[in-house]
Amino acid sequence: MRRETPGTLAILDVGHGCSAVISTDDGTVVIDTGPGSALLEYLAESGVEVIHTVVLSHADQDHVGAMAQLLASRRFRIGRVVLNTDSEKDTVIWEGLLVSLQEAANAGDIEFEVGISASNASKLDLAAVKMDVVSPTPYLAARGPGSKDQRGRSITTNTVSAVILIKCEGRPIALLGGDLDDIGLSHLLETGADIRAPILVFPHHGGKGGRATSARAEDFARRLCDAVLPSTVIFSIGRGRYATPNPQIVNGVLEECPDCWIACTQLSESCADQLPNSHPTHIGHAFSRGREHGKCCAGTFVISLQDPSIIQPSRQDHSSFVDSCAPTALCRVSRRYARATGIDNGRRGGE
Amino acid sequence: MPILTQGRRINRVLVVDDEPGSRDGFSESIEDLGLDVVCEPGPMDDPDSFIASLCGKADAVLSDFRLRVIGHYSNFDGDRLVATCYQHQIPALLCSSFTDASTVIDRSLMRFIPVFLPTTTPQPEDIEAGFIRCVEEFAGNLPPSRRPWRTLIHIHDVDDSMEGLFHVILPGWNVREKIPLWRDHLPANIQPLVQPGKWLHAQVNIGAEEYQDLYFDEWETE
Repeated sequence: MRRETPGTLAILDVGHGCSAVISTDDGTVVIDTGPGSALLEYLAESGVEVIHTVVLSHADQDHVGAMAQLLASRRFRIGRVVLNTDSEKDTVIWEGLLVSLQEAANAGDIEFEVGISASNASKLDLAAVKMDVVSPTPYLAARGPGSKDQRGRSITTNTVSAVILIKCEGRPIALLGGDLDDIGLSHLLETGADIRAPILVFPHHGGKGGRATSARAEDFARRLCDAVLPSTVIFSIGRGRYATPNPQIVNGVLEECPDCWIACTQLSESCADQLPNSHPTHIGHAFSRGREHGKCCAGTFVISLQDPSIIQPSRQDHSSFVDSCAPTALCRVSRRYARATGIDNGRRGGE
Repeated sequence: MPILTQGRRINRVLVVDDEPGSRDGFSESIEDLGLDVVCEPGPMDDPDSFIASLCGKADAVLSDFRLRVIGHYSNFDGDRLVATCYQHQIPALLCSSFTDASTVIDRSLMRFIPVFLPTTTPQPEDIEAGFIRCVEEFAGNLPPSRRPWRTLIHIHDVDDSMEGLFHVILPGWNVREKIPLWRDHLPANIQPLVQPGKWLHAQVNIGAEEYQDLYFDEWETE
C-alpha cells in the first residue's frame, strides 16, 4: 500500500557547493555535504540523528567539506560513507578526510566503501527511493582522475563526479549533476541511459568550468537538457563566489527547455548588484545558508518525493521575488533571448 | 528613547576608551539614539572589578578595542572587557578603527563578542542592532553564523617571521583561507601541540561568512 508521505528531497542552500538530503520513514541519505555548517543545521533542525548513507560524488571541497564536520560534530550517527578514489586530488584536506573515515571505520563507527559507478547503483537504494548512479561509467571510474580516455581526453575529478538519478516508486524525481563535465557527459550519453527527470540540479553550479569557449558551455547545457528534459533547473550557488551561473549555460538551458523554471539557491551577483533591503518572505522554512544575510534567491528547495511538482518555495513565490528584486536576472534576460532566438531559428517557442 | 527587547530596557550606556576625544565621538552616536551616556574615566584594574563597579551605573557598554595606549587607563583591552560583560549578560559592543584589530583579537573571546564595529564613529542604528543582538544571544537565540560546532582544525604553518603566529585551515569551512591565530591566545595545554601538520579539534562557528568572524574555543588535546 502506498504510504501517504514517502518523504522529501532537499536541495540545500549551502552557499557555493552542493548537498542534498533524502528523508523518508526508512531513513536519511545525504548526497554531498557542501562546505560549512548548512547541512548540520538542516539535519539538526529536522531532528535527524542517524544518517543511513552519505554519498560523496567527488573529491572537491565544495561537495565534501562538511563530511569532516559530520564526523567531528558527534551529533549524528552515520551508517556508511561511499565515495570514489581520486589519486589526483593530492590535498592535505582530502588526505585528512580519508584518514578520518578510515579511523572511524576502524573504530566500528561507520562503514567506509569505495566505488560508485553505474555498475553498482542498487547499493544506494533506500526502500522505495532508488538512487541510480548514471555516471561515471564503470570505464571512467576504472580509469580514474589523472588518466585519459580512449580518445585521449583528460579525465579529471569532475569527469568522474557521480551523477545520481533519484526515483521514488519507479518515478524519476531529480537528476543530481555533481560536477559533471563535457567528457563525463559524452560517456554518459553514449550509454543510452534514460536520464529524464522533472528536476535537474545543474552540474558544477552552472559554472563555465574548464570550457574554452562560451559556445561549448552553451552546447553542454543544451546536450544535457536535451537528455534530461527538466521542468525545473536548480543552480546551487553562493553569492559572491565565481559569478555563477554562467550566462551561456543559462542560455543553453532555456534554448532547450524554454518553459522550465530556473532557480538558484542564492541571488547571483550576475543577476542583481544589490541585495534586497527586506528579509525574504518567499523562501521555505528549511534552513538556508543565505537567509541570515538576505542572500537567498530561492534558498533551500524541499521537494515531495510523492509528487515532485510540489516544491518549496513555489515557482510563483520565487518568480514574484525575482520580478521585484532582480528584474534583470539571468533567468529573465536569457528567457527573452531564448524566446527571440527560438523564433528566429524556428526552435521551440517560449512561455 | 530606551531600547526595549526581550523584556530588557537599555537606557544608559557606558563608553569605555582611553582617548577622551574618542569617548566624545562614541557618545554622540549613542545620544543620537536617544540614550543616556556615561563615560568611564578609568583606571581599570581587572574586568571583574569593572563589572562590579558597573552595577546601577549603566545598562550596556560600548568599548574601544585598545585601552592600554594612553596613560594607565586600563590593564586589559576591550576584547576582554566586552567578553566579560557578555558572560555576565550585560550587552556590550566592541569598536575599533585599528585596521588589524580583527587579527589580534583573542579568538577564544570572540565567542563572547557578538558584534565588532570596525569604526570609532558607529552609526546609531548599528549600535541599536548590536545591543539587540547581544540580548537575543543571552536568550539563546544565536544566528547560524554564531553557532559553535565541534570542528576539525589543521595546523597549516607556524610563521617564523612573527613569533607566536600560526595559520590553520578548516576543512569544513574554506580550504583556501589560511586563518591567522596567536599561540598565546590558546590554553597552555594546547600551545605545545601547535606544530605544522597537526590536526586538532575545537568549537568553531563555521557558519560564519568571513574568517574575521570565526571564533575558536574549547580546544581539545586529542
